[in-house]
Amino acid sequence: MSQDAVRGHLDGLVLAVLASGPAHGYALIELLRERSGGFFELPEGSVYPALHRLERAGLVESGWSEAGGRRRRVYDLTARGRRAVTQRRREWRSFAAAVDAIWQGV
Amino acid sequence: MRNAVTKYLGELNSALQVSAWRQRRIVAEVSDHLLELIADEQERGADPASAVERAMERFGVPAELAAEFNADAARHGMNRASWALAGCATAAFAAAGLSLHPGTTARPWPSGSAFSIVMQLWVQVPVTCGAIALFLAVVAPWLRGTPLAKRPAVLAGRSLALASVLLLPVGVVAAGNLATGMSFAERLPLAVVAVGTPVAAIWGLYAASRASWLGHRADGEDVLDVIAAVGAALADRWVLAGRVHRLAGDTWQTARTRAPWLTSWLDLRRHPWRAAATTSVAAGLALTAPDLLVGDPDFLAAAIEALAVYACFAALGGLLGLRGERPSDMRTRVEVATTT
Repeated sequence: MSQDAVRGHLDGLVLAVLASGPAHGYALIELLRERSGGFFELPEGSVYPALHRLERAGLVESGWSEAGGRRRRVYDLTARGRRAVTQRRREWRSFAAAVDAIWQGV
Repeated sequence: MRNAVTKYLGELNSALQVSAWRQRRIVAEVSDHLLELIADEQERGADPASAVERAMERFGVPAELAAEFNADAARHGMNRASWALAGCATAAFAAAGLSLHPGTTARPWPSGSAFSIVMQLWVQVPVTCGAIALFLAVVAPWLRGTPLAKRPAVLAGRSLALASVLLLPVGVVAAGNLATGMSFAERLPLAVVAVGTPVAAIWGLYAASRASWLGHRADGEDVLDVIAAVGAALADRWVLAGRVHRLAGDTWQTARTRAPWLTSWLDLRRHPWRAAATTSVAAGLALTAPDLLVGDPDFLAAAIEALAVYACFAALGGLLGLRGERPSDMRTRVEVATTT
């Protein structure tokens, strides 16, 4: 899958990763890589426009936290964000099932 | 090591076209992330110089990253300006409606006829432009689930620029009428227009100047294509909307087959001038409908309204993407296709 195709789903993927708990940018990209089995090798910076976009849309909130002497901006889902995760999960499952059904006939 | 990171952050900083507060926040976050990446590379055994190089490679090109932030900022600006201009235009309409009340005793500034021309006739043009901008920049992306980009973004920018400029005389007349002894209910929407218009116009012009960041004027859909796509998106989303969409499509196809001449007067895509004539007559009739109900129709006002609508379509229809492609747009579209 091309990087452009992954970018089209980046907002949804970021929401999915944040559904398991708050994370800062560096941890988020690590989780994306880890949970996709190394499949998503995006430029690490690409996650920030997505995070800022989601924050403007009210799906994500952020705040500074300090750990080990380092200040980091940590992102978490809002109530709207949690509802968006449920909806996107449902939409993705229907879409994936339909595509899978077509490929099974090949 | 410090020099390379500073240079990277400097390049990002100078390419960012967002507010100073957001710029500081982005640079701080990127700086933190880069330092973690460098530490990560060093833990894996890389020497300091190659750790910096690989960290920056992993992070991405600063100009590309800034372009994504800039595009989001442009979309946000267009969204905000569309709402502000639509709000001012609605308030101007409300002010015009209230001033038509038969009990009003105030003498409008600068004169009754100038007030009527600006607040009732002229205002319709920025209202239409504002409505197109709101549809392209807010409603269509929301219903389609896709961000504003390409030609619709350019068309939204043009609509915002026109609405901003054309609302200014409305704001001036509204301000001039604040002290003419109108009732509080009449003055309230005028005050909203007088105060809100300059702010909305500044936002609108600023957002319009950034529309080209989102796409090329010859790259994508015009307003009619976006309306069709929104119809299809609604049909996919709700069962009832799907039925209405199918029914409308079937009815239109049947009508086109059985009465092609008649439907050509409604077909904005294939016969824009005829469809514009139908719309103009409908607008004139709609204006005189309340008078018809009380048995005192003003046919002169209806004719002026119809002529004004047609003249505006002739002057602005192509610019706002309501009249299909212009030859220059088609040439540029071919150029874009051959160079990409």
